Amino acid sequence: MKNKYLIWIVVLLWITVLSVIIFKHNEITTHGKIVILKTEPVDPRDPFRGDYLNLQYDISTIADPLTEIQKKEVLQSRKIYAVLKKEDYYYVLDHFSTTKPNKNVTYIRGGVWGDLSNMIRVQYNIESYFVPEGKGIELQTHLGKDMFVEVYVDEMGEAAIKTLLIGKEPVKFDTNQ
Amino acid sequence: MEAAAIIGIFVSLLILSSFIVGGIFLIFFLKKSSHRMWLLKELTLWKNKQIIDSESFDKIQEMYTPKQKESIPPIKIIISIGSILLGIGLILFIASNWQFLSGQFKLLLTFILSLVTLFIGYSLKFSKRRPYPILGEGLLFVSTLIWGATIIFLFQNYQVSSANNYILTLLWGASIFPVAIWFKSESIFYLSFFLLFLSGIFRGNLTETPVYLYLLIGFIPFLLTSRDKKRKVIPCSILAMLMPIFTRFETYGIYYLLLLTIFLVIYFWKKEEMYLIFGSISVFFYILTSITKPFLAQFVGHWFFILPLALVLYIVFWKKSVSSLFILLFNFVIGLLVQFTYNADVGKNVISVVKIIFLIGLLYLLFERYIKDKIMKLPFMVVGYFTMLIPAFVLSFYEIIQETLDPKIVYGFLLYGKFAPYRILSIIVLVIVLGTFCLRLLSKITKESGDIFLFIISGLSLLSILLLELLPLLKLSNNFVLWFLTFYQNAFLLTFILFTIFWAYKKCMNWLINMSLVVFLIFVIMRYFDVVWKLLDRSLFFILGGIILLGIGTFMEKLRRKLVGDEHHEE
Repeated sequence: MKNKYLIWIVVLLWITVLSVIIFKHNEITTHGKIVILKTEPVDPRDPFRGDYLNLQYDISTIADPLTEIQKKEVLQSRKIYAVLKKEDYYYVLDHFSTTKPNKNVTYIRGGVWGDLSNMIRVQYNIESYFVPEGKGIELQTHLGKDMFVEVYVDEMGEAAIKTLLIGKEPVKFDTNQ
Repeated sequence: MEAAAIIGIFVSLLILSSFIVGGIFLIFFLKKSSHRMWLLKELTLWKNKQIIDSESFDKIQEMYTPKQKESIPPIKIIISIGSILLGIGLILFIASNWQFLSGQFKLLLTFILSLVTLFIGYSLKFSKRRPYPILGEGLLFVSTLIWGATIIFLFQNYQVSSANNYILTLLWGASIFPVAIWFKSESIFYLSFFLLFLSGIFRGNLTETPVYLYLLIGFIPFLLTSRDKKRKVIPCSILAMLMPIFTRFETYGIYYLLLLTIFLVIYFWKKEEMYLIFGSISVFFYILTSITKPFLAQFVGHWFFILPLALVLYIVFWKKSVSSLFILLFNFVIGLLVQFTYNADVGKNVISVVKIIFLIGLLYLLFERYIKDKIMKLPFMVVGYFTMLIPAFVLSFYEIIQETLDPKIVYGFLLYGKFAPYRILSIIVLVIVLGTFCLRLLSKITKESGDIFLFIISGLSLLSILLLELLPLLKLSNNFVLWFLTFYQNAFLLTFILFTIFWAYKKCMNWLINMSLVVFLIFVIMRYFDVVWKLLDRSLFFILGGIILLGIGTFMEKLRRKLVGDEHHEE
């Protein structure tokens, strides 16, 4: 049998890939601050991953009229920081910043993905909430109620979803069916 | 169990079994009438008549034996499809039942499973004692699929936004690339390539930029490193064929010019005429993509296509490449056709575009026979085959036929309004093809040298276009027309595929046999999906299908060994 060592290199490579993903996620969840954001869900399906809710936030589009120069800058750097402020229960947008804000304020780093009919779309990696197969419908019964998302945000502004809240209660699925 | 589920299982078993019977029949058919059998018979005759001695007998036989061993494609395909089904089933199983298992447990389970299949596949493929290369290859492929399921699961568990699917596919595709190269697995190579390609599309959709680069990055090294000429031809064709999807068909036709440049550079570097031919084909696709949005049309008018065409034409005259000249002449005709008929509304009707492509494919297939050089025929075959096949596939869907019957879209043969020039030229092309068809008919009758395959396919595809045009005009019930057309298109597609298999067999083109078998499988699976997709639990459906096919594959490989062994024994 040739290639004896190559198979171990493959195993090592795969373990590395997994470790990097897990490590990166753990970094955010252990060192991150919990922030609650208000959200609007829609219900598409992910071709790979079954049912999920597509979550939209106030900070998902830059509706503020930007000057042409600012717009060009944002589209070129593909990065934007949404600085947040707390308003009784949840956080809302304070302003967008093209430079990294100082550490005293809470902010999320977003990726700028294209310019759609004069609105700049921003993704924060918290746009999908996966639910067990067939449970997406169950969630639809809650449409109309206020929905929030608990998000971990670390010092670098990286975000990861902790849980989905309906009203102020974390969402639970009946898994016995 | 619900009645629907029972029907689902029944239909799936029926389709699977018909496929199995077909496969076995095909193997025996191919086996029984293989050229080697004929050769053996002749050799024995020569030996008995003492034209050759035993030594020459052995030598000649030895010369042809290994080739024949390689050329039993159905087993490989069945194993591959089985692996794919099993893999997809496992992915879906994991994706849809995650509520029953804890996150960490599931992650560990899938990861261990991927490693186990990797090791088993590896040891089966490379075992010194008793290698099972095809089964081993299949399992290696499954392991890369389960590995993908692991990453998918991890992303799902961490609620990673699906906007990041491009990272998912990138990680998956890149991490299996070494497996493909080190363990010499073509199927994993193509999976890896496909995933990287998908990653490109996902990213392109997010950033709204063209994603052609990923495709080129994937294929160019493969083209340059591959030594087998035939193996280079297939990726080249795929490259050319996938480009329309990849460059978002209507918007970025200009990237064909980039492709042309690349092919020309490789041509001048490697000095192989094949690249010049593919360069010419890129020009062809460039012209085709300008159906809906001609590049630079707003600046230099619709005649820009003349420039790349003239450049390649010059090189072709200079290098005296007859095949490329043929392609370019076609390009010129098609170019004229497209430029004359250009109308922004044409792009909205998929059928209009499809029909043009259909006719072009037919022209390629028909003129293939006038090319004398055997290898040069190949690009013609590839382009002709796919340009025929893809529209035929598109038209076999009920929903698409339904769309064509939309009263807003169907104009029939009415020769007025803004579509008039387009209609007239369609008819001219139709007449040309019809003329060629009649010529072929004449040649068939007079010389008996015509090819029955092209003869029938030309007739059927013409009928298909005429039916699409004329049936909606007759005052029949819409439902009847819809079902009739769907039925006809499916029957046509099936006939096309089966005829191609037999034709390719007659012409000893293994690649075409393989390709057609894969297409046949895709066709069966597609229709299977249409029927039972909603009826049966998806993961169960895939896993069952996968296991059955893998089982059959193993059985067939044993059978093959036995057949090869027996013959060896007889000899």
